[in-house]
Amino acid sequence: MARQSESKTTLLAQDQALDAYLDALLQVSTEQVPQEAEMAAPEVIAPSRALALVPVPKPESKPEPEDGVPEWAREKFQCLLFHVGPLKLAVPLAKLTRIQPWGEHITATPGRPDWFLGLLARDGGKTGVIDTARLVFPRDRRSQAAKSEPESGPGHILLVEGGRWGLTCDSLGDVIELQPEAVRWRTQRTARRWLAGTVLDQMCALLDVEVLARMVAEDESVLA
Amino acid sequence: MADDKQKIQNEVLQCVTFELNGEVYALDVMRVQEVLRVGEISPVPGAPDYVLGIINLRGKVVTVIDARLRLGMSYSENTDLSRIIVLEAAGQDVGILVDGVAEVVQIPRGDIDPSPSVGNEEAARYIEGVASRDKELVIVVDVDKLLSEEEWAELAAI
Repeated sequence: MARQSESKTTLLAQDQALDAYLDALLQVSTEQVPQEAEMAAPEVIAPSRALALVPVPKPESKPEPEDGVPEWAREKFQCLLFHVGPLKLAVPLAKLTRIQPWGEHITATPGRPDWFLGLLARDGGKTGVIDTARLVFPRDRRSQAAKSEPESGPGHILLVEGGRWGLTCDSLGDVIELQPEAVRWRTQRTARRWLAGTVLDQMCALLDVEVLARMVAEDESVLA
Repeated sequence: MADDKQKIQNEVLQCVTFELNGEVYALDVMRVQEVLRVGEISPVPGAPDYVLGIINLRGKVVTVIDARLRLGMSYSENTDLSRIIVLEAAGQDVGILVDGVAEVVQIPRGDIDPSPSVGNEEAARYIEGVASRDKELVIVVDVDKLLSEEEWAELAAI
C-alpha cells in the first residue's frame, strides 16, 4: 500500500538505487581487479582464468533484441521469484521446466568449473546442476552469498531449458505476473548477459534463461 | 551409415566400475589386466604429483597414478577397499589407484550420453560420457585420455 502512494520522483530514485544495489552485489570489486587490467591490450587467457575475469564474446552467439525485451516478454508474463544468497531473482515461468527439491544425489563430474555441481539423474535424461550463487556472484562476493545459504544446502533446483540445466536456489518466492513495462530491460548486455532486466517493483533481477544456458554451454564468462 | 550407427548404439560395453570420492566410474574391462590390493609403492623423485610411484608386478615395473589427484579431487588416505587397477593404456602398463572396485557391468553404448558441455572442456576430456544405471549415474572414463600424449610419454620414461 505504502509503495503505491510513493511519488514518481521516488520511483526514479528507487530505479537508481536498484541498479546500485545489483551492481554492489554482482560486480567484481574494483579494489581486487586493478584498473590497468581493464585497459590492457588483449591477451590470451586460459579458459579457467577467463571464467573468473573477462567476458569472451562469441561471434556465433545470437544477438539479444535491440530493445532488450526477449520474445517471451512481449506480452504479459509470469515469473517465479527465488532467492540466492542476498539476491532476489525471477525466472519466467515460460522457461521453467520443473522444480525439484534439493536432496537427490548429484553426481559430481571431475574437471568442471566450480559452479557446475554435477549431474542429476531424472526420467529420460540428466540435468546439469549449476550452483547459481557461484555462477552469478563474482568470487569476491561469494562469501556474502554463502552466509545467506541455509546449512542444509540449497532448497530447490529449478530445471530450465527442458530440464537440461538446473539452477540451485535457497528458497522459493511467489509467482508474479508482470507487464513488459514493469521491467527495466537491459539494452546493452556487455556484462552479466544473463540479466535480462530488473523488476523495479520487486527489487529483483530477471533471468534470461536462454542466454544463461548459452553462456554456460559455450564456456563463456558468466561471472563478469 | 545409419545401420552402422545403430550397430554402435546397440553395442554393449563391458565395464569395471570403481569408486572415487563417492561417485561410480567405469572403464572398459578389456583394458584391465588385473586388480591389486594396495601394497608397497616406491616413490619416484621428480615425478608429477599424481604419480604415486612404481610397483614391481612379477618382475614388471608398473607406474601407479593416483586417480583422485589426476581428476582434480582431494587426497585421501588408502583404506582396506582401495585398489590398484592395472591396465594397458597408450601402449604401456599403468596402475590407477581408486577408492574401491565394485563390479563388472554391461552398459549399452547407446546409453552413454556425453557429459554436458560446460567450462574448461580440456580438463574433462577423459570423460567419455555418463550412463544411467539403476537410478544412479556412472561416469565412463576414456582411459587413453586420462593423460595427454606428453604426459604418457613422460610416464613411459619413469
